[in-house]
Amino acid sequence: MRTKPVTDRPNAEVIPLRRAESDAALVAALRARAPGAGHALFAAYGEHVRRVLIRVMGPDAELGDIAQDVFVVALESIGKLQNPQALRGWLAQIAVFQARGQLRRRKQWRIVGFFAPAEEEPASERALDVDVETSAALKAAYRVLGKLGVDERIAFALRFIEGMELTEVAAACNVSLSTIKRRIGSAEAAFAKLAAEEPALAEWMGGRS
Amino acid sequence: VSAPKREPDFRGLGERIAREEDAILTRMEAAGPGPAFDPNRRVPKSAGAWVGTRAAIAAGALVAAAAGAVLFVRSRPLDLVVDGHAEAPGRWISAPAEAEVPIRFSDGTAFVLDPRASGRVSDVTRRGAHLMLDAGRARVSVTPNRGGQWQVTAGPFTVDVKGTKFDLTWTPAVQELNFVLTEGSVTISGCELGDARPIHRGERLFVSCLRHELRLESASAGTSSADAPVVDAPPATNDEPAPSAPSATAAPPSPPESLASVPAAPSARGAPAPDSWQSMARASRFADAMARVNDLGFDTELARAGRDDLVLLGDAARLTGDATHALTAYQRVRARAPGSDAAATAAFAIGRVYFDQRRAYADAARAFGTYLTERPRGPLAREAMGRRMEALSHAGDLSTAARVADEYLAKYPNGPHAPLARTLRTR
Repeated sequence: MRTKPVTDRPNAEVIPLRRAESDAALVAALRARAPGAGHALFAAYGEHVRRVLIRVMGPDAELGDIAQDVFVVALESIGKLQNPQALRGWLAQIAVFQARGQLRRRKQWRIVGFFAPAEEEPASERALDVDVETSAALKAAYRVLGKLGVDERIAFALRFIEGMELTEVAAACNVSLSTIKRRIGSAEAAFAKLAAEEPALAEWMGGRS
Repeated sequence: VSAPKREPDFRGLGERIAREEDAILTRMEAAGPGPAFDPNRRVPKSAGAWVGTRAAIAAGALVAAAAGAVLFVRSRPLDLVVDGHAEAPGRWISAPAEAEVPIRFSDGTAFVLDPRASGRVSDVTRRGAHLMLDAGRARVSVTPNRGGQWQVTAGPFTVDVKGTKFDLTWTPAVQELNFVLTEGSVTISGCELGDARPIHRGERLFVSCLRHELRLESASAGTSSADAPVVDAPPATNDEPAPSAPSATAAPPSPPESLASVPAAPSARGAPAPDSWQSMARASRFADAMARVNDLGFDTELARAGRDDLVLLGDAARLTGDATHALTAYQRVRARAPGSDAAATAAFAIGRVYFDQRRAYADAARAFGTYLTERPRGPLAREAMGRRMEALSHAGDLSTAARVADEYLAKYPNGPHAPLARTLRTR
């Protein structure tokens, strides 16, 4: 998985957090319904969940609401988490599931409804705040992602945008490795075909001989 | 000489997108904290934040918009509200031990899951919905409506409903159905009932799939039809019937109120003690049963349990969300009694665990396929084929799902998975 830079100082000492222990304590508190445990979970993993969501959905107006739902679901089903050390991956799995539901609902509405949801243009100018070329490329990328099947979109986003390993993508999507390979293969082919119609993406697609 | 074809650089593309998304997140955080997390607030599901954002519809398109709105309203499925929160279909719903969970629809129809009951609304259309009851009691009140399409399934049973009120209890551990119709009429299919058995107002129905027992009685008359069955139970066809399972004619008459707690067939070693985990599980007290099992030691009980108790143990674990122990118990059944009805039922149950709790759809599809291979005409065959098709669809194997969809529609054109099958077939 791609990691964010911890510091700008090249020689700074990085002290790893003892995540496993803190997660175990957090999960124990959540199971005991200790006051404040839900907020502690949100504080510890809110950024992680928002990052998974933005990878899967793009800069969407409903990211905050979906993140809220992810944590409500997590609190309701914390008893089902068997290994507290898997908390981070488990939350990612819930986030992917919630995002998937939202994307599928939008697709359904687009089919049955007169109005199209704003999914194709989630990255408003206000949110993007970037130069014209970058804005055009980013919007083109989301247009293409929006045309993929929901499961293919999620697999593609986790693999290439979030930079997850195949096994991590499979775990986040709760499917087998072979299924995720098939989805990513299918998404790659569809993305390449659709991207050919988006000149703004040409530079970002780069390519190797 | 043509230039060599260039492969798209998806990694490079992804890194560019990720960089911009990280910058967006940073800007969002810098702009100030969003709404505080509220552990008790579930956000109503919407189709997106499109209302209002598309306000700039051209004035010239008003007529088209109106026509579209009509189409939209007519096509829109009923709203689903679970325990006061807007919800999308498909989510597993499990009522806690101490409270019921109401499931309401925008036409006034309501399903109420009793404490400890579980199930899911698998499909909602503009005309109705499909409730799949996993275990426990559901009280159903369907608003009469022309063209309404409401269906409740529980194990092998399907209830086709129009405007009706009824209570339905399904106990998967012993494969027993209790049904009380208070208003209207329905048809019920499955297991000992065959196809589309009509049930009328005031009638009570009890069916035991394992014991091949069926009783239909009039609640107002207060008489049990066990003495004179309305419908004769067919002869047992299981290859391994329970050793002491009573026959339909041997079943003792029971007053109507006893229908909700029909005792299970005693095991070959005698009836279990009332405080045994087996008794608790048979009374749908699955959490209590698993607590007792864990006190005694899961592995100890696993080694000690007979074949039927292993199925019961698996069901208790599954219905308390303990997927690991459920799978262990079911797999032990299959290892201990290969080829038996219990082994086939265990394969079906394994499929449900993989599907509902692990969301491991490829594994679920395999398990449902195993059941179909072993019992192509078994009491759960229709459900297994439907669930297999659904699992294949979720797993992304759409070509196989389409083949299963064709087979399903040929065999069960009005089955509960028929709408999904038609969707998959026409893709």
